[in-house]
Amino acid sequence: MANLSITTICNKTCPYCFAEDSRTQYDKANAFMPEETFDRTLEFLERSGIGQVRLLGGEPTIHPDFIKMVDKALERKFHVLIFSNGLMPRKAIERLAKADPETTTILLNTIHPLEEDPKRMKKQQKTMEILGPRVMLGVNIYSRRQELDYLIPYILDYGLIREIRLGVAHAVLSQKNVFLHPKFYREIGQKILSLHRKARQHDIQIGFDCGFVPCMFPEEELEELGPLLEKTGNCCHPILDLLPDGKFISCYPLNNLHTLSLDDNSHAAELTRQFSEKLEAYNNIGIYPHCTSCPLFQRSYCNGGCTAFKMNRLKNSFAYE
Amino acid sequence: MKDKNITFLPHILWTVELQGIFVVDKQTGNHYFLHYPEAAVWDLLSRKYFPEQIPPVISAIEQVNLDAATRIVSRCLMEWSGYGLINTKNEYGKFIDHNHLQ
Repeated sequence: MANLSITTICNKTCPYCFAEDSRTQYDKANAFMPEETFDRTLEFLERSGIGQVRLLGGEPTIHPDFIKMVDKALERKFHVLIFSNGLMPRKAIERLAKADPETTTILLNTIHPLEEDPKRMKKQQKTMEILGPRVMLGVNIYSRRQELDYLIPYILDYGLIREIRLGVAHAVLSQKNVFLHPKFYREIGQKILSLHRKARQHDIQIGFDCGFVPCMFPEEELEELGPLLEKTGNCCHPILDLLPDGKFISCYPLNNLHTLSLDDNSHAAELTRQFSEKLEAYNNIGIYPHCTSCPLFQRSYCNGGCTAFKMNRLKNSFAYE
Repeated sequence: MKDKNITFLPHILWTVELQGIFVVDKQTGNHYFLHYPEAAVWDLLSRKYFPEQIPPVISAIEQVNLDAATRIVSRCLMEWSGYGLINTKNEYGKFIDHNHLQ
């Protein structure tokens, strides 16, 4: 897996943005991935045996060459996954509306009602209406106050893909973003269970992004989660996010840790190995002080959650300075 | 006696776990898990205790006499200095000012 951040520019300001550290490092002149870098990236993906082009940003649809990039990827028989906020330029929507839902998916990061942004929510809904079966809904959970029930009516009303991607807003290393502190994970776990029950009634699946841990959910209800439980716990690993200048980072929250350059011999497996080596030491702790005593951690069923949060637990200062 | 003669090196990071303290050298990736009572020594150093102030605390926690506690602290400082985790100005074993303790 590798994500291509084709632009650092975004038309929305999400308080939890994971890309904040990397986005602020670029001036506007270097904010868009050049076509030549994109072409080299397609070669990298083919060389690495990766069949999917995952475009993200910023907001990838505002890249001036967005349509050209989608077309190039489809011509080379990639599946295209676009991480978008749905606030797309008209031309991008028109192009995506013609795409085969089998080959092109838009993972639409929904604006949560808590954000109180009805104008943009309406624009998102228009995008859902036009792109219908190409759209999978996602939400980033950054507040314990977030309810999740609003997602199901969107899927039913607009005929969207019957899967919801849930993400937890993780702290980037600089901790400049809003994030969901792990002390609230159990509260959110209850809300996810509630969503899961309602979604099942409509044959809608739940999917998890990285950083979910099994102890978010009450022990007595773990069985109810079924296969979903297996998607928690052991999913923090280098994703490979490629920035517009052709530099790989392990993932957005770990932007400041280490970078590797894309070259003509780069291979995803080797890059993943190098990032994993850098992160190896942090596999020995979890997001909670009690993780190392947990049987699930000791059996490697759970790797203790988001590495960026683990690293943010570490300090080098005298206690009262 | 009140000069700070033990410092943690800047590339050394740590966090308190339920069963001890996890220490990592972010330059090399070398990492250590300090169980108690070693974790208590580390914690006290991080709270700006002077080395000579630590044995009485360890003695109370571990229910050992002062000599045994002093040996624990000396061993910790020697090992950690050897691993490149701390800087010490004094020679090991000479960090205790016995007059100060009395």
